[in-house]
Amino acid sequence: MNTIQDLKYLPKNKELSLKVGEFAKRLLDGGAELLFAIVGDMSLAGQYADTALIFTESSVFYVDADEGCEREYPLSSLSDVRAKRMYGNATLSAVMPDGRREIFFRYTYSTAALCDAAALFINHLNDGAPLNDELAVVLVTIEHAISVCPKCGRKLLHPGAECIRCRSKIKVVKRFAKYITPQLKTIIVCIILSLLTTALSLVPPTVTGFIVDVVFSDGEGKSSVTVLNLIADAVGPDAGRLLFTMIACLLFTYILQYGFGIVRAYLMRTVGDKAVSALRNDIYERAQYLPMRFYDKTSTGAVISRIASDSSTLQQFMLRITQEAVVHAFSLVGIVVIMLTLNPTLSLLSLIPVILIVVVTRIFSKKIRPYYSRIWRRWSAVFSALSDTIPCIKVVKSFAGEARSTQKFKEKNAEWLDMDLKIGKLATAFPQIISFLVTTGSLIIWGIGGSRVISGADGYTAGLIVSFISYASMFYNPVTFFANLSDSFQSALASTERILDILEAEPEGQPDSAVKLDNIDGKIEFLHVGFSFDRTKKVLDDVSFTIEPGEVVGIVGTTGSGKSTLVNLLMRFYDGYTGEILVDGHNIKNMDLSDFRSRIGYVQQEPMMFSDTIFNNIAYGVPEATVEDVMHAADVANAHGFIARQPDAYDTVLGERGVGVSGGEKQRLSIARAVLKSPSILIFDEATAAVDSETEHLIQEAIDRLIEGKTTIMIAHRLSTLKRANRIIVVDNGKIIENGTPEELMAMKGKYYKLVEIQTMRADADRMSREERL
Amino acid sequence: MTERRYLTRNDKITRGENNLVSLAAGGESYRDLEPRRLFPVSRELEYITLLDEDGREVAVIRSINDIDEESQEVIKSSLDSYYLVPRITSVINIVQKYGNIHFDVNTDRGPLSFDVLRGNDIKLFRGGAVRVRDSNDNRYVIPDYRKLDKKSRAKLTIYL
Repeated sequence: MNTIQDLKYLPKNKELSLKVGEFAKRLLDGGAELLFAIVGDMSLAGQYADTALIFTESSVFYVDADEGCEREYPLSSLSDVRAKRMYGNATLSAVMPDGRREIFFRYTYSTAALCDAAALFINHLNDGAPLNDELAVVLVTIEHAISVCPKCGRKLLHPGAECIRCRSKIKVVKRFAKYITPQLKTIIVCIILSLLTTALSLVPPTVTGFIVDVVFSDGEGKSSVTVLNLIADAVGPDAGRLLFTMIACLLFTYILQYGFGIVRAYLMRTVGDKAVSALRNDIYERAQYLPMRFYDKTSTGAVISRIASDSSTLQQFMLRITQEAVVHAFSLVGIVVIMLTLNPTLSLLSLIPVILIVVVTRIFSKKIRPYYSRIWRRWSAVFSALSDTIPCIKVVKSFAGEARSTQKFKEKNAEWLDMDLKIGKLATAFPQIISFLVTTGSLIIWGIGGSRVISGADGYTAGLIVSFISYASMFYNPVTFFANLSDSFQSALASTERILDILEAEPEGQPDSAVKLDNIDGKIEFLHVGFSFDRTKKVLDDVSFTIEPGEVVGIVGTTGSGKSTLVNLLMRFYDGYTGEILVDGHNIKNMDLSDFRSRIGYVQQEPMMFSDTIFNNIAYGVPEATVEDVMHAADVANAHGFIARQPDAYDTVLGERGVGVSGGEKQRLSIARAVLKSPSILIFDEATAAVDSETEHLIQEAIDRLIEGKTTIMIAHRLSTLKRANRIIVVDNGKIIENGTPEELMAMKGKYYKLVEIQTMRADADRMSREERL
Repeated sequence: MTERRYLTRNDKITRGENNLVSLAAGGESYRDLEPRRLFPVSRELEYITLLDEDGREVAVIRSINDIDEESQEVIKSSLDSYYLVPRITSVINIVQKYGNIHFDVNTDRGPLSFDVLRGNDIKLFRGGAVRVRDSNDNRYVIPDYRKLDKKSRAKLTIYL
């Protein structure tokens, strides 16, 4: 083993603090061989503190740098080390040489997984396990525990993920740019068209100014625009003719401007639609491959809304940036240039309200932004009150809860109303205030410019004032656009966050060199498997067992004992377990995921059916199955009979109005689905728990046909389901407490014996009461 | 089903090892019991169950005031050490970036930074209580957010 000379290379979950580092250095200098360190966060008294456990081959050192407390525990003096999770904190305790159990480390959940591993490490070493093997397990756990960004300390989505705060924003933009670039040509055309329409929109104010100054004054005056003067010369001195020529010019400009506008709007829409549909496809595809852990944390509703609405928000923003921003920037520059050439003094005057508008907008958006997210939260509370009760309407009615649920809904709705009214004052006042400022701005031009016209100041004409006011009003549009851009930037950022959460989430693990087996015999081994969903409670704890090919194994245990979790891990729905699971001697984590899953037939307690035809539902796993394959599978599953009795038979669309398929029938369809896959391993998760005994018999028959010669795991509550099992594993509190043939377990008179007793007693009682009635 | 035993002033609870307690009730005595809240969120000092080593319920304290003062102290200190829910006393800063909500706060157990993954993990209860769950499933509580100082309140209310 390599000894660690430098603390830098000491495996640890977090950087050591200065003081703890000094202590570790002293240990190193004293010749100790350090293995790893667990940096904790809590003193034994439960205050946040700078603590650590430092492990050497023979001892563990506890340091509390805040208290200045240092203790050494020889590993051999710690027996039966236990990691106990409490509420918000956890402890490591051990039986000390004096025979008393003592707590020697206290920590929050942040280091809980690591301390679990440390407890096993000490216990296994004391049992004589080889150091290197045990150390390897701890080192892997440490690797998994490093889940914060090394740069900024931000919590990462998963260990080893790229920190989005620290990564370059350009990369984020690039990530989304790929949805835009295919449309680059169209976008460029759009931008050119935008520039044209903007340029055209700048023409009319000058022309109207010319009409006022030149046409109305019988061709006396001259315009500052040469083109217009040339036209006037060509038309001649007839004012009427000149007026209609100018009107024709304006009409022509408008036709071009709005004609280009139509083309541009259409192209823009195409670009947007294409981009958003590509993005939506990607998010959906990604969501399909996300691990179950993701769905445990994020409600399916949230995922649906991300695919449906967040992608649209983002699309709108992308279009605003690429299109409107360009247009507005261009017209802003154009207007400023024209206004300055027309009259610099008036231009500066019209800037006064602009400054006001920008200030007002800034203040407003700062004030209103927090309210938006609060409204949104109130609204989702209303929505969840809705989505909770409507699907459960049967329960509501059967418990006469209509009034109560109405009351609850009204409360949530009132909270929303309250918040919405609060923001309402601000939100409705804002656009009016802006319009007021804009209009007031024109008064300044009228006032100052107008009095100059009356006094006959040089360069001031009525036409100038008219065209200036038109330009000034066009000026505010782009200004408010840019002032409000931060708002839509905010909402786009929020959508980006949620979308990236899916796009960046680690998909189900797939090693680079995934093993594909030609043939699976069906040997299953669990080696020291431990698992916890949320770090608060261990669902499985050091579980080991072997199932030989062709065995039919029943897994028995009370609700919440961890038996379904065994299956979830075997199916690789969750990868975050400790220990190893092997199939035919291969670690399942190294196997090709979809190939591996396709070898397992999995029948759930509550079979889920798609709203599709019965045929397609059976053929879900094998879309290329022939009609007769499917019918054969239905035969095996005892399903053909009831399917044939449906008016639409195999073409019956499930989930449509009037289609009545019972729970037991659905179960047989899901068995047929499993049959069609011809799997090497079969898993039945309480497959008969929700059906009556007659249907159970039909299903049981189907199962018996199906499991012939295949490794089968049956999770069951009802022990009668396990008649075919040649081995029973009893799970209790995440541990295997019994494992053997039914006969052996009966002879042991343990938990299994008790369960059988209870169930036979119940069956006997049922029979007796039936006989009595007869 | 056996009747649930509710403790009264006649029953005596004494301190055991490692935060466990002993109970003498109705002529019987039990060792190594663990007091646990049946309503950890909504009722701190009511309905406290006493579990034995196998997790079986031995008795329930309906309200902490039902038992004598000395026993109360024993139960309270055991609960305090089992349920570690730091009280947030003031908010230094809260920033939301890319999905995570990062908290810098002072608690009754010292200053602390932590990340909350979703807005859903910050819950406002009637009466102003706020409960927060961080990315490691640690819990924090603000007994009444309306009583926080003005700056803390302004930073927090955005997320309520």
